[in-house]
Amino acid sequence: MERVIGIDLGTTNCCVAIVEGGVPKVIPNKGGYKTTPSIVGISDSGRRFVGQMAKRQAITNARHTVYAAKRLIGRKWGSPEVEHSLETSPYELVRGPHDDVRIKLRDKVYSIPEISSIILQEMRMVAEDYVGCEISEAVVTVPAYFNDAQRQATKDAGRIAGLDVLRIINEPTAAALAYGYGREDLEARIAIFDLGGGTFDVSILEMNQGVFDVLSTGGDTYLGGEDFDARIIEWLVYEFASEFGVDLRRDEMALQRMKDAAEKAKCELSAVQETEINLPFIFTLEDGEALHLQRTLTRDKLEELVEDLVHRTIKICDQTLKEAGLAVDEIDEVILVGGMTRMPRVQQVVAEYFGREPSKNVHPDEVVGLGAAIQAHALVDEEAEILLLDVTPHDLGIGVYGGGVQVLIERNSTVPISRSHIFTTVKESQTSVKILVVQGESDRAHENDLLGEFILTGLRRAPAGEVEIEVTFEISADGIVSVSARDLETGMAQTITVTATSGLEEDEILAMIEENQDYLVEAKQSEEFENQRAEVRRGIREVERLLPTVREVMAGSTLGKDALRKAEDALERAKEAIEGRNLEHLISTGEALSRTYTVFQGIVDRMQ
Amino acid sequence: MARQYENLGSGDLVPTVNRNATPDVSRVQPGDWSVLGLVDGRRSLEAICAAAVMAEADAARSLARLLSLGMIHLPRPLATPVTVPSSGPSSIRPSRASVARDGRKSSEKEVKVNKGAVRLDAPTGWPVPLDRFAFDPASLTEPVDIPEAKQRQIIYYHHHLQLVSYYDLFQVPRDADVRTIRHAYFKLSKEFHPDQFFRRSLGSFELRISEVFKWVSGAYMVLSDNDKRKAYDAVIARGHAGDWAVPKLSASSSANDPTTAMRGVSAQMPAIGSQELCQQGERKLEEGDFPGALRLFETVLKSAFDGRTAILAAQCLVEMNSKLDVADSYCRRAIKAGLDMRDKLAAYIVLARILERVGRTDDAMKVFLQARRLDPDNPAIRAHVDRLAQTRS
Repeated sequence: MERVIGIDLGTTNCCVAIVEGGVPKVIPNKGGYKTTPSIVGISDSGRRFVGQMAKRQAITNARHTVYAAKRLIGRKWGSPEVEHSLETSPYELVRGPHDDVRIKLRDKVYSIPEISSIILQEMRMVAEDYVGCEISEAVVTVPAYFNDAQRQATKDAGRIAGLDVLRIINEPTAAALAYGYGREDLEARIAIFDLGGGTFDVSILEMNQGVFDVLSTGGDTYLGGEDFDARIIEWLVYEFASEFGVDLRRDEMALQRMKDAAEKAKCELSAVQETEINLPFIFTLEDGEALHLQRTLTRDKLEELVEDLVHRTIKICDQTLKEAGLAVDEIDEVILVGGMTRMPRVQQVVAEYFGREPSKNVHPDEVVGLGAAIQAHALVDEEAEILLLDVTPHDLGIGVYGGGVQVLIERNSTVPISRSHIFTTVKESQTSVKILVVQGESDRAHENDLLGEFILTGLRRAPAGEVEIEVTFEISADGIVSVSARDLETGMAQTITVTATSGLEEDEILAMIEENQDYLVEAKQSEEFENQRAEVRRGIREVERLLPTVREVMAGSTLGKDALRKAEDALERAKEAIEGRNLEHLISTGEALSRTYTVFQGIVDRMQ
Repeated sequence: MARQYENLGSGDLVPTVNRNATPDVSRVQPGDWSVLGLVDGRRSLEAICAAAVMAEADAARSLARLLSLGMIHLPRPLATPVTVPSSGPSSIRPSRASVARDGRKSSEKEVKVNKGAVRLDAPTGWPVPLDRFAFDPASLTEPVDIPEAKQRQIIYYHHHLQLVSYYDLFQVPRDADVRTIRHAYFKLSKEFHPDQFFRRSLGSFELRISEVFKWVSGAYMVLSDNDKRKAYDAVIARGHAGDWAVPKLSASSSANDPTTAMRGVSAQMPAIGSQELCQQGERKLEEGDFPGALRLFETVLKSAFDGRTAILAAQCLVEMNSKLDVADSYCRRAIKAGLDMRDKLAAYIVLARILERVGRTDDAMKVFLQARRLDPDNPAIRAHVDRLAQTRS
């Protein structure tokens, strides 16, 4: 059976799941955790760290450790989100060749999909360790509000990681699948409130007869737990500045420590009323005096700091519900997803708004990964009874004369879908038209995301308005946009698959795939080296253990002397080899050592 | 990793109490009641076994008993007791029994069927019933991974999209409430959503499936929106069926216009059931339902041009006094395409009437005279010539 997995590629944490024997389950990583931090670090020797390992080394390697790369994926250089990251990230952002964002770690510049691919690769390995065979296919989740560029970039990340991404699905939709799986007879309208590390999403779904129909979806790709942390950091910085007159933001190490402390305090305040933030030696003055940061943060204070963020989520819920054409009391179930929904204030506000207590049946950190696995299973398994009717999250249209937008596919339309529209030339003797494909809710073309542009040439020379061009938009079940245009008179057609202007070129992706494979070979080798080294170490210990006995037995014998000299020689060379980097040398010394051990063992046995 | 329980499944499943069950209470063991008390819709199997006052294995046995008595639910009812393998590719995939059922016989008791099987009853009230539909044998010989009954269903639906109203498509009455419509939509989605054919070899069916689904979801968009539905009801009251643009889009938009949407495949599907359609169209023509007849004729013409059908279509347009230019070109193409004597006469008469209608009486006279040369004794033509001669003088 094809083994397909679901990956929740979160801003702060990832989760991988699989459906086995009809039961979806989360696969724990080597450390036994069901989620893996979405962190990538590069050490000074160029070694990659992912997940818990990366988190552990982050504090001493802040400049070369990437957090929350998801916030930058598919973003354009110069966008407000990137500006914000430029100010707050300890790592160095550089402008990419397509106006995209890249990250410089050590001496190498990485695209965001490459960073994400390192994380996906890790999740893939977690799954492979578990099932014991190679896995090449996955469903990956993205926030519902991701646009085409962000989805494409996520797909690219999968490809670089060697995964065939069967489908990109929306996180809230995945949560609903996990909630409704196995309850196909249930007929309910569900609101999914997903406040994660970096993004906020809300979706309204209807489930019935195993069909999951997304009615509407909304969100904010820049609202999540990290913003809550940032509020705490701001508060700490302010408090510290007013006490000591020192701006801690300029100190990377201090920033990193405050970030960790803020996150920890925020989590603790979900359970207790107040917590201590204690960061000794946070700053050292020029005269060598050490300053300490110590503050008590109460739950009330935290709620005050983030009140506007919490209310922003409710405003978005209101809008999304309106788009579904439903009133609040028509919702049968509210599901909370994402770590931030553990915050009592968030739960309280959601319960007040919907007038009901949220469901406690799902685990906020695992439900999205489980849903992704269920969708993967539903696609490849003949017996699966689940069907997901997903929608497109943004209006899709083309830029028209005068800077306006003609929307062809409205947001929240069920995919797959295609729509045509006939346009005419605007100038006399116009022989070509340029078609700008835009995605977004603004009625001005330039305020939306430009997905791509293409030119239809060779039109008949005619007065303005006489030549008719039919433009057809298509969104596949994959959510991928393609556009074709046709001159109605000549039938001449042109098709493009929209590629995000800030995305990666095909040959770049291919190069990255290759490079990633190179890295994998290298990493494998070093793993082999480590295993061999451990082997040799064990050999040395064994031989040294037998050495005094053998010396005693062989004392005075020429044969013994010779054997002992050889053994000592082998020991010395082995000790040398485990310090070096030469695998072959290590292997040969290991073999010499094991021969010595066999001889020694023989001598000892004979003696008894 | 959650532990596995024999006869239950993964330990992280959360059981719920089935309040509607009518169990045989005599089979419930005393200890089972205390285990049942722990089933609160929140605790997982593992948590319940851990919290129970008895040994974990006994608690698990209690849970299995409660499950077999139908007193509790598990998220996924397991068809057979499955012990999930903890690793390795050792799990055995159930063989893909093709339970493809013929659409007509599907009133039997529901059994679990695979994707790609026909589960819907054949629709009723469509122009040509499924069992009388003339399938082009060539269209059923493609080497595709779809059961034949399903292939027939796809062709049948695809062919009828423009011919039946959204209500007939969904098989719901005109006054159906939104809930009924939604259920019908979900049922059709399960038949035709492209995901139900994921990774299959589909050949030309790929396009058909995608077009049927898009049509179905477009229809649902209209019927689930009060304003759009009202507008649609007004349109079908005038005799149109599926060929209807979503009114919210501007007039020049051809969104949801079948002539665009269907262009892709119609050329590959010559004359499937066209004879029936023509017969039905002629009946409608006799009854005086010109728009209805025209729809049928034009559908036939779209798949393959046929002189006789073109003349019939032109006749409808003349009776409706609309799009006379189109009627004109139908006639001229029909005459050029070569017709037998009787049809040629009919073509001349329709063409002359068009010309007369648009005020080109001289040209109309010429055409009538041409017709008279073909059949000098035809009283109808003579009457036309006399009448026209009088109005001209």
